[in-house]
Amino acid sequence: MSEEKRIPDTMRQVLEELEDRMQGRRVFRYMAEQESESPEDGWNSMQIKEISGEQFFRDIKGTADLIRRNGLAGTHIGIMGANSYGWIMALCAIFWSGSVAVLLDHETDPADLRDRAQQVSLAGMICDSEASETVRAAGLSGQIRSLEIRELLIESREMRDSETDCAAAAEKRAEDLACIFFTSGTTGGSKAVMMSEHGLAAGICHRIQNRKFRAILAVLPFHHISGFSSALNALYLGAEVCLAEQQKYFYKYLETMKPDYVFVVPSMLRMLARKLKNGGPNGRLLGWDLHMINCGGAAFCPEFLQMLLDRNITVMQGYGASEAGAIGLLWEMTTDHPDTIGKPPAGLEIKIVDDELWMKSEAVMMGYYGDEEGTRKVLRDGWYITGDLCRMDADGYLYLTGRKKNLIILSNGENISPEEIEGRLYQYEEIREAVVQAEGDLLTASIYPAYPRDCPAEEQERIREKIRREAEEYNHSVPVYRQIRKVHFLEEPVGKTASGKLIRRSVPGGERQ
Amino acid sequence: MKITVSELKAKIIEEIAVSTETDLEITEETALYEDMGLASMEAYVLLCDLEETFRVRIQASSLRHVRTVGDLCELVVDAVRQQGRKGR
Repeated sequence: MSEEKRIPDTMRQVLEELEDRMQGRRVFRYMAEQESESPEDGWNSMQIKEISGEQFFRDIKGTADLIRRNGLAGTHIGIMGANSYGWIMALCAIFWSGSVAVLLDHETDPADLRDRAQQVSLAGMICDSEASETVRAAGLSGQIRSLEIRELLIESREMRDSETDCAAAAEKRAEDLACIFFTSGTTGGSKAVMMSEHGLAAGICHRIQNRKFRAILAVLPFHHISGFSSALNALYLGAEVCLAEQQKYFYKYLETMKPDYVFVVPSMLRMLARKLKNGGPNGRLLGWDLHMINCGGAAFCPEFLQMLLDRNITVMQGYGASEAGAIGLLWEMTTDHPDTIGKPPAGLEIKIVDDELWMKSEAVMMGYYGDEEGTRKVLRDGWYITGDLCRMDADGYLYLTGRKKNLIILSNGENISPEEIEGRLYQYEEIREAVVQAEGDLLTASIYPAYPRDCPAEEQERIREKIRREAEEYNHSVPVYRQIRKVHFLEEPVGKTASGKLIRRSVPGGERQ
Repeated sequence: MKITVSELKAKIIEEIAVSTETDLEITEETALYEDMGLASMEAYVLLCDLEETFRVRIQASSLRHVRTVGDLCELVVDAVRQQGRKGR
């Protein structure tokens, strides 16, 4: 497909074009566990598996047919699981079958999963074995059709070719809904972002990454738009995808599969930099063959730039927003402009309004599912209002200068809505007011307890102790990066605006615990 | 040769220090995230190194309940014990 060629209207059309391009080449590699008498062998029991373009599309079509046979074609189908070949294949099968993919974090807890399933009218779920436990715990087993990825792969491969000739689903249009995923958004609370068929296609069929690469290590979670779209974009550009299915094997994937390109977040960049300091050119002393790193999702760490350049590694800074789709800024970092997010690529318009960055492209979201008011606050005539403060210098380079809204952005790229965590804490009656903030990457909670009137000191300490236990209880129910690391107790209520909103910046140090 | 739990924990702590390349003097009370400044991904990679060194398998989801070096030691000790029982 040449650059001048029109972007396909739908994801099915994207896949049909990719099928032609992928003939005769390897498209995926991943590490698979072999049968072992010693399960503690772990990594040592793993071998590289390869998937050809032909196999990929046989699996997609077979799975799409199973989706249809299970009465799910054209419905909203959730995908939930760790990164895997099966995950990305199932995503493509959902598109092939003319359905809507709903991307769910595999660490979602059962209560949140139940809410989200209802929020977006889920009819089915495709999940890995661990996520299927969450589906059961959420009480969804009897309400939606649940299919395990492993079983889908086995069954689709047992089907004869003629059985996989999936009758074309009702033709979807460019403006139809293709995908829903969840983000914290700029206005707090979890939002269901809707991507159209054409918007998603535009976010995959682009050449913003104009440096050639052979293989990308797909380590970012697939349920984030940057995760799955960077993998599909790599396939579109003619590269292969090495799958990082377990985060704990991050370094081992680099050594064994030797991808030359990796898309990471700043916390992973710090890890890479630590190893590469003594790793030689391209990490060869470590057994790596790394030539390019794209760092996005949170503020870049320019202190590593020179060291990486000295090791013959190109460093790109990626900037984008989930709601703006998979088209964002991608800029090669140089030491003379280490803090910039660069200049917008072709296909992306930007403007700065009252110091705030707005973005417009064919990939911008349709809106938030079931939330017209929330959508109106961030979408204007196709422009997405990012919530990021920005300036442009005389040469057209853009620089981020802060956040307009309350979102906490961690160095692992995750966006945390403080209001979401505060809402969880308010379920404990001992907590009258709570303000969640961040000290570096550590989430903190400043809490004004609900002391009764004239509460003696001993009783106050008992209440504080109970709150500490409640914070731990909350921590056990959420992924590591969402856990509260420090609890500060306030001696006075938090300052408020005239309309009663908490003034976050007014939170004093409090009694540190 | 039998090893006591405290000897095993000492080895685990040594491995944690080597794997994370920390300059801190770490003890069981050291907090992985607050004191050592580990990112969540680094905790997963550390888990991989501990699995290799002590030839055990530990579910990554167990990290949800881990805050300190001591918590991690308990995870590994538990896994080693279970491994020992399977071997009998």
